[in-house]
Amino acid sequence: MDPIIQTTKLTKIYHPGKNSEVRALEDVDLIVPGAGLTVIYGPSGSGKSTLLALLGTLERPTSGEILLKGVPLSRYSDAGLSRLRRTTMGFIFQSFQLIPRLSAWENVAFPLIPLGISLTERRNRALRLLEEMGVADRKDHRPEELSGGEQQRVATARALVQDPEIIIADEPTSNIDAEAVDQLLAIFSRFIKRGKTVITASHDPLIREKAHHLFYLQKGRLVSP
Amino acid sequence: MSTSFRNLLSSAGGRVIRNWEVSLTLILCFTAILFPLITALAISKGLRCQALISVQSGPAWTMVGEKNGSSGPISEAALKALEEELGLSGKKEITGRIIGRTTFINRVVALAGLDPSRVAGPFPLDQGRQIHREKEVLVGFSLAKTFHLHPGVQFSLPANPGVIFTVAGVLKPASLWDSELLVMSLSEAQTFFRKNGFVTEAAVATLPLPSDRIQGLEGKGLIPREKAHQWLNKGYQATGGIFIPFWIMLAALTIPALLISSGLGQSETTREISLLFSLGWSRTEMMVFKSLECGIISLGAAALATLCSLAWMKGANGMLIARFFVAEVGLVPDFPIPTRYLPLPTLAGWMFVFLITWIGSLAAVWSGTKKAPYGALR
Repeated sequence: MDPIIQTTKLTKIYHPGKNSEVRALEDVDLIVPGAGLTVIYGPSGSGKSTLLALLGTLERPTSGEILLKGVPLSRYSDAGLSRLRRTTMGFIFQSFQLIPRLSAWENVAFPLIPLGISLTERRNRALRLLEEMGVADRKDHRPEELSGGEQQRVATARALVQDPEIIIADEPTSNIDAEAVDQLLAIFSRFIKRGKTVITASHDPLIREKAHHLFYLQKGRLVSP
Repeated sequence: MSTSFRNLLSSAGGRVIRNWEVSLTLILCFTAILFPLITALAISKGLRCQALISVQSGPAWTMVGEKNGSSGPISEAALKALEEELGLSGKKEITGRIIGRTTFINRVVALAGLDPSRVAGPFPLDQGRQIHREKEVLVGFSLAKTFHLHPGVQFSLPANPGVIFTVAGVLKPASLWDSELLVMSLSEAQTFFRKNGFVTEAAVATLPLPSDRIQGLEGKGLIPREKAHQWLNKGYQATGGIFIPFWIMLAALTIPALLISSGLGQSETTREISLLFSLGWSRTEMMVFKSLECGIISLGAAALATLCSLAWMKGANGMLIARFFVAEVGLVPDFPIPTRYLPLPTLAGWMFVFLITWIGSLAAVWSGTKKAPYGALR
């Protein structure tokens, strides 16, 4: 069976050929076999976020290939990658990236807007997830009215709203307290039990302890820790 | 309408309301640009409409005297001969009149010399009465107001200071044409211009004529009503004059407007676009979303500009603004400024604003999806 994600000689160079050239990733060969928690760690500037952006199809590599369940991503057009993100991926960002002027449930339901789902259905789905995340009572609050942990759970609910197979989380615990980290890990655990994959970049030892697959990045290359 | 499109439309509307500070700033900026343009077009259409009505209700034929490329005299004998040739009688007849210009103190005014017995009805008056005696005149409303010409006031004109006129009445403010007009009898005008026995125009009322007869009359310098109508229309279709500075102004304002529309909340917009991108929205969906948002903002600006213009023209009679579009009108116009609001200028305004905001949002979508979207979200 094909691994869920595999990369071969993955390289990303920003501003190639210019004075400002940055070699963010070089020849990264990585295999995420299947369901579980995959943690990528390493010092700041080692290329963790770039790797997540590439695995999440938000950016294209300069060279090398990413295979998703054995299918090369280079085969996809931009529109195809958008469809893939919509059906397969959910993102959790370090600073949550909730839309400030929307309520918690509106933020969760936002990815569903172009899918032709009615407002009632969007709202019901969002409320179900907020309930699952334990923040249903904050459904009408705006992000600024929520604590860091609550914002994290709303962002997680948004990542799950399209029932993705993979969650990509960039430093998900860096802006929340220990209690919120435990809650997030519990959510990840429930998600993984359903046969899904979480790929995260994190410095947090608590996250690393729970990892099923660990990768260490240094200066854009995968190395042994 | 698909549910998906309806969702995008309602979300775009929601975003316009949520970001009301930016939306309102854009709408007000574009309203400021569109307001004078829509007003100018409405006045131009109003003037044209008034002129066309005047031609339509005028005589079937008009003969204008011509001399060296300017208006010249037509002798009464020539008119008599034409009347006999056409075999006109009763209400189907030729009416001569003098339409000329003269100065009144420091102002150029129109002077109309008409035969009172051949005028269709009494002139609508604001004060005084119709002309009954010799050397009596009717004066336009603006002229009367500016120079305090009440009924009974006597004056002379620099072109013929020996003739003393008495104001019999003041014309009701009705249109641009009669606000600075002096009306007197045909014989008084002939004396004043020292053109006894001559007129400058002849209005010819006829029964419908066969086409060969029409061609014959056109050869004699008579202008049929249809042709006058056509010329007038052509003249008003020309987009020169006051509109040239307008187009220049619009072109000049487009650049800052574009910067405003693409720059206001640029970082937030880029971040939002990057976020939508990561949430699986396709570039097409984002474009539709942003286009709908631009459509709503531009519709708001065009509608507000039209409403402001309507309110200003109907409520304040174009105070302060009309003078830029109608010659010799003061800050507060003395007569009702004619306006006509048609859907096309509003539609054109909407398209103009839409294009500007749309180009701005294209840039935002492009930079939000192409320039390392992940970076904007970290």
